[in-house]
Amino acid sequence: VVASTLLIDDDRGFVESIAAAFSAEGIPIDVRTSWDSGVEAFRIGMHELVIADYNLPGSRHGLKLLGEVSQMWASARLVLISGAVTPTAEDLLGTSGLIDRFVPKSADLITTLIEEAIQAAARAAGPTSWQDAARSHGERRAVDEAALDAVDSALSSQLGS
Amino acid sequence: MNTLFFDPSARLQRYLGRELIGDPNLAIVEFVKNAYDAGASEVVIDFFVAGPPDSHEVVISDNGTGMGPDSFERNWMRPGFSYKARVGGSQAGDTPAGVRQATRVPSGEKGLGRLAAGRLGEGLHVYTRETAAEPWLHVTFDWHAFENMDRALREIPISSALGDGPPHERFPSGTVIRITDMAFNWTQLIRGRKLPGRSDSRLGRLREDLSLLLEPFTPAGADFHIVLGVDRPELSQFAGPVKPNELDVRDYVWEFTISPRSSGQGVAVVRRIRRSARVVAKTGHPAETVERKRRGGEDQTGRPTLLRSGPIHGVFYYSPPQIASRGEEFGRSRGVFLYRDRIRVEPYGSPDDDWLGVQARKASRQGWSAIQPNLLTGYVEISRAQNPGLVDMSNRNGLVENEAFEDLIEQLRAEVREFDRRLLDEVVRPNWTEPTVRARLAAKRAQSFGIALTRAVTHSVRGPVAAIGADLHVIERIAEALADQVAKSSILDATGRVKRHLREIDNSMARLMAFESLDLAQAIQDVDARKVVASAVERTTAFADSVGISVEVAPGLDEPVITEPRALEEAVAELVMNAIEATRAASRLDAVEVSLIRENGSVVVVVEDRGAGVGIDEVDKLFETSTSTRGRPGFGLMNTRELLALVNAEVELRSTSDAGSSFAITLPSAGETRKEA
Repeated sequence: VVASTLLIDDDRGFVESIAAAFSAEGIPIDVRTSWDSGVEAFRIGMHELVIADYNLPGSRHGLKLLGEVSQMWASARLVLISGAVTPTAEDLLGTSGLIDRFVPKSADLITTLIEEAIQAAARAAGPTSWQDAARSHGERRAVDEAALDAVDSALSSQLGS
Repeated sequence: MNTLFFDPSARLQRYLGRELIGDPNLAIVEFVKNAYDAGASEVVIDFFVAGPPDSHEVVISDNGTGMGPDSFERNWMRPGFSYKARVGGSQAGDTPAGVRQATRVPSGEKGLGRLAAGRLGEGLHVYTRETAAEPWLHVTFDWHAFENMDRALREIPISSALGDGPPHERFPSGTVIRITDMAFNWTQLIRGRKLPGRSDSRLGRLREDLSLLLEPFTPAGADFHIVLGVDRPELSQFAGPVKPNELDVRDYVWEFTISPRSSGQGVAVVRRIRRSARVVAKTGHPAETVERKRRGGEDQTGRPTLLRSGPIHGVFYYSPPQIASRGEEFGRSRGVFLYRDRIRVEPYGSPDDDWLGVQARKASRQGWSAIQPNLLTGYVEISRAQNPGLVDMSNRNGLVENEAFEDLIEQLRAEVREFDRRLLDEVVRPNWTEPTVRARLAAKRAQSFGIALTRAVTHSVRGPVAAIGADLHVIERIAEALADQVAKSSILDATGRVKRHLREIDNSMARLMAFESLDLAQAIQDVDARKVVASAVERTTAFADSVGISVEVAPGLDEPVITEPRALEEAVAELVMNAIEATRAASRLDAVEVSLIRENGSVVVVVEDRGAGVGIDEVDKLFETSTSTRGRPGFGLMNTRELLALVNAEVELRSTSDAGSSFAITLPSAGETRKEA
């Protein structure tokens, strides 16, 4: 079964629990615990939904990882998760135009992720909407790289790397 | 009627000589002053102390006007007589010493200083002549001969002869005082407690006293030199010319002239205040300011401000510890010394003489004053001509305490107070702000650290919470597939409770993350208190529902308060949670009431529970210790009080009984808060 959702988070315990919950729902999910393996998995699977933690090891933050993913396939839905985002950082993310959604890590995170995954699976099961893909490409291109760097820098200082 | 006459016993001379002047240094200073008054340009004090103590001698030689046999008999042999007091001017015509003598104001005029020789030793040889062409007059005194009180003073023979000069002739003419059979050993250290800034050897102390004798900061010393000679090699550091003290460090120079006003009431004060480059750099005040002030009215004791002593000129030198480097040396003895006509008046300025009340002022203010007494130095200058009312005591223990002296002291102390005030404003107070700024920065750093730590902890907690949420989802799915309905229900109940707990943790984490800045002073703002109260109550709803107790918020004030909303919300939520718990613990189901009222201009949030009340033993420590009102570790009220203190609000227990308790949070008035902010 091809998974339409990819989760990238370096917290193995967290990843195991999320994968188990997806499994209980019968929803396939690919999980990776590093940036490189995550990008590699996306190249192969071209997932509809990519969920990435903001605080990945090293300087490559989840935000930039998602930026790289969007360059490969702009219509992939990008969800950033984090346990340490302040209201100000959340506002910055919302205006960046890069990601589709930010979800703080909480007790109800799994519910949100499962809903997102079900929709992604539905999209993957249907024919590719080239119209949507083209629109997504246009939107992603509109992301100002300098602004993205500024957002990332601001988030890094707010959240710590 | 009979006429009587004093006929002093020989022992009077003995008493006067040995006991009139207590300090042996002062006895030597007296002879140096005599040399000055005799127009000398140089006086040499030789200590011959190389041999055994009984051979020690001190010889004081000057190149002054000297005396012939007649002059010596008229002056020296008549204690209490002084030509200086009667005639003025010079006795020695136009010799260089005579010319100098004519221009100098005599430092002594009582004719008693010479008796001080008896303080130094039992034998006295005086050699004197007016010119090198004359033979030396050598007069020998043996003070032992004056012990007998049955003999009259005039009956003690004093031998004198014209002939050879002293064994160690320093000058071709003048006067030489040679003291033998010394009263004590000048090579020794001074016993007792050491004095800060003072030598502990006799010769070192003498050298210091001699250096203070001449006014240090005027050219007065230019035509009068003092030289110390010591023949013992290990004491050679005390030998050589004695130089007036110079100040190496002069951060503040407070120069003043105080004059009586022509009206007779009050005084005119002219001040020149000079500040060092480092004072200017540190304080921003100019390098020099000149002021003209009047001091009138009454002094501190209620007396009218007068100056019956004539003009006073003085200079205070001070290096505030806030500016001077630690351990920096003045290069001169501490103390403000009094000089009359350029010669020091003892004992003013000595370490144990607080004539300006600087130490007393500090002591009377619990050790606090801008001026640190041990860092103050300087001098006060008066003249005999302009201050005739200021008369020195015969024992050299200062000036006679009369009205003129009281005025002098009062005016000088007023000047010290003014200097102290100025130092407070210019140096001390601004320096206080530096620690405040440093404390503020330290607090900010602590806050930043606190925030970073909070985020790190929050981050590390939120991941596992989300993971538990996912695991609960798995458990729920498994439970839903169970055929055993009882087991299924039990498991789902349990997962439901766990989820509620997790959401409470989530909410707490979210509140922590919301504290992006802990600078509460910056965060104070117009706040709709009703909204804050509603938000706090909302946070308690889940708990209130779970225990079946409602929280009722009375319709209240509709006006903003100025405070920090998060602090207020935390405090109200804590009180409401406590109230719910207390009501539940009393097994009651009455509603907890929250109201917002105005009292004496302040907005007050009142939270009333229906609990069993706070025990009498707990009331006093309710906000002080970890007292729990609801069975859990009770840091809540302590924290609440501290949190509210940050925004100048207060929490109190207003009433308590077995029917319930009432807690109140009083917010400061808008005006107070704005002022604080």
